[in-house]
Amino acid sequence: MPNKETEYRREMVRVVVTGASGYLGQHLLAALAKDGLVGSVVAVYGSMPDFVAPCETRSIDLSDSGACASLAALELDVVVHLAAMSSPAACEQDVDRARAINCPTPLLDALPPDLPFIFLSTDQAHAARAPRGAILSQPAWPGHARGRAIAQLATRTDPARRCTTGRPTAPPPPTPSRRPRRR
Amino acid sequence: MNAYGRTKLDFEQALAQRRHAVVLRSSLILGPPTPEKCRKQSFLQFCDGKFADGCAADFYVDEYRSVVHVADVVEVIRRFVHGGATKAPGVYNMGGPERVNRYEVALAVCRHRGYDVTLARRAHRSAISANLVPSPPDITMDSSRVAEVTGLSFATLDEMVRRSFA
Repeated sequence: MPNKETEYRREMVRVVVTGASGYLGQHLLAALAKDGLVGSVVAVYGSMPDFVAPCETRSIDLSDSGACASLAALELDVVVHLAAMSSPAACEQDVDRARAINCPTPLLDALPPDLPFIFLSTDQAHAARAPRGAILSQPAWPGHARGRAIAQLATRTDPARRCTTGRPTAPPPPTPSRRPRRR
Repeated sequence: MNAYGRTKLDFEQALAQRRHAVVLRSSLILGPPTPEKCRKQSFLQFCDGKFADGCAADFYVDEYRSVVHVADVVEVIRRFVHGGATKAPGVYNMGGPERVNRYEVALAVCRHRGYDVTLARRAHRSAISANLVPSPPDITMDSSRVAEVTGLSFATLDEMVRRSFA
């Protein structure tokens, strides 16, 4: 019979963060390390030899199908995909490499289709329709319903958290209500 | 569209068939230095490094972005990690509340850090862009939907600078 502590641990999420050695990646890892409902984090990075992280790290080439398959074996709950070749000049100089890094379809092929996947894209994706002075409205994917508010959900996950600039969050319910982790 | 934007857009489209995918179209991210060594810090550290050495530099006045604070980006991601990706999948603009150019960012750093504001010099990208990668002059985004869905509000430029050099 599991005790309270093990029950709680089973409800924590296991997250993989790609591009973990980059600017946003390092800030995200620091926040996830303090997040009481994140059970573990795997920090995936490309080629920074002396990368230091507050969690497990893996150096993986995301254009490599076999390497991506090794991620799929980790029993993940969610992927945060930050890895990118983000210098526009470097992308122009080597478009094939930019495509391999910025559009890593082997990663998608390796992961279960229902696995939650968060992708950091760019405002440059608006470029084809960015007239000067216009405020670019919210893009939409066909087939996706309008997003439901997750503010309340986020509030439940961690009472101590608030946006640095935003509204304070309310206290959580007495017991976590997340689904159990798969085993 | 440049190769960077095109390849990112291609991956957005590859994700569109997944049930629980979230795309965050991020503007230029600003904030404090990373906890560990990093190849590239934010534009705020670039400005501060220049001005601290007494170096003047040119900054575009004709390229506008909805700059966003790294802590706000982290919090948005955290909320999608905790169930938001299944509750509210889709593609979201993710920028701050203000339309600013790089010269204005550089000036904000100068003022906050007490540097001579003449070190930040006005420059026009359109005048020197012969060999530059094409980039839209204005990518001001309406990010009200991500704010609505996450329940967050986003930092202004002055708030970003103040927090980044606290």
